[in-house]
Amino acid sequence: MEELRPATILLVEDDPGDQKLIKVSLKSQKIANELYIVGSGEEAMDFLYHRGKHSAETPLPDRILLDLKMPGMGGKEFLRRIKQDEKMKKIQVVILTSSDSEKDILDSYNLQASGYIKKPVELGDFKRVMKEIEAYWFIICKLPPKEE
Amino acid sequence: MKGKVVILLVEDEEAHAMLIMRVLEDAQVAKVIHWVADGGEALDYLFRRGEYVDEGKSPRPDLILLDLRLPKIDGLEVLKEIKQSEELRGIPVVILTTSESETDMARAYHQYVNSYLVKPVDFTKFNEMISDLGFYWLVWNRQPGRMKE
Repeated sequence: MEELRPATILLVEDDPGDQKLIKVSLKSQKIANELYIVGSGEEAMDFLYHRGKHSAETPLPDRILLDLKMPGMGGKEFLRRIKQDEKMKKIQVVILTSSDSEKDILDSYNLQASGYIKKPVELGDFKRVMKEIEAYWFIICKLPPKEE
Repeated sequence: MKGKVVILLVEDEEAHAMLIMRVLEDAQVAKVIHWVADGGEALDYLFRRGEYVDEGKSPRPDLILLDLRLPKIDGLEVLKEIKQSEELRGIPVVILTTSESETDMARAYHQYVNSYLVKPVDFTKFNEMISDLGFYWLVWNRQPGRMKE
């Protein structure tokens, strides 16, 4: 069909177990995506704005997979901040969380999340969800054009 | 889950609308699809104006599938109005278009579109895409107001 541009993904997730699982699931697919992992909202801000230990020139991600419940700056606050930034707001943010609460879902959409996925508890389901995320977000959904 | 999933399909090309509705009907989720053929009618439906004043005729959609090139009011304008509305902006909007123009994509993302899909010319691929889309949004993704019994 059309060319698939490899995507740069930033995973914002504080749980090392989930980080590993997501990393492995994304790697098992055939797309040459580039995955960066940070463990908190603050670190994600540093990554995007090249501060602290992320002061090196890291690429602007095409998509962010974002956990909600994290120590310090949570996912919602992070989302609120980047969606107010003209340069960052086009980045697609998919919420990937263990929370099923109606409030979290509604808040996330109101803060302009692109999608919201509840992490399944069971490992097989988790892998299946990751496959679906990849099929939808990384294969059929078009990315915003890269700025020069 | 509460009741049926409500989908608002905004598509001026009848053949595309028919195909999309037929494929989505196959997904094993109870749903109602409301089809409108232009941007003006889409906004009337969403903002409950004109023939959609009665709430019974304009149930809130759980998902909006939106074409870009539309009569009366353009898809990007419809998107903008949705995402600027306190009441409507929580509804996921998926652009479904034949346009691969980078300007259209950039504008749509700038207006907080939830995702942007380009309709494949090939019929089978178009079918597959709609099926994937239905599976993703109706089965895996969570939308506001659709969680609890």
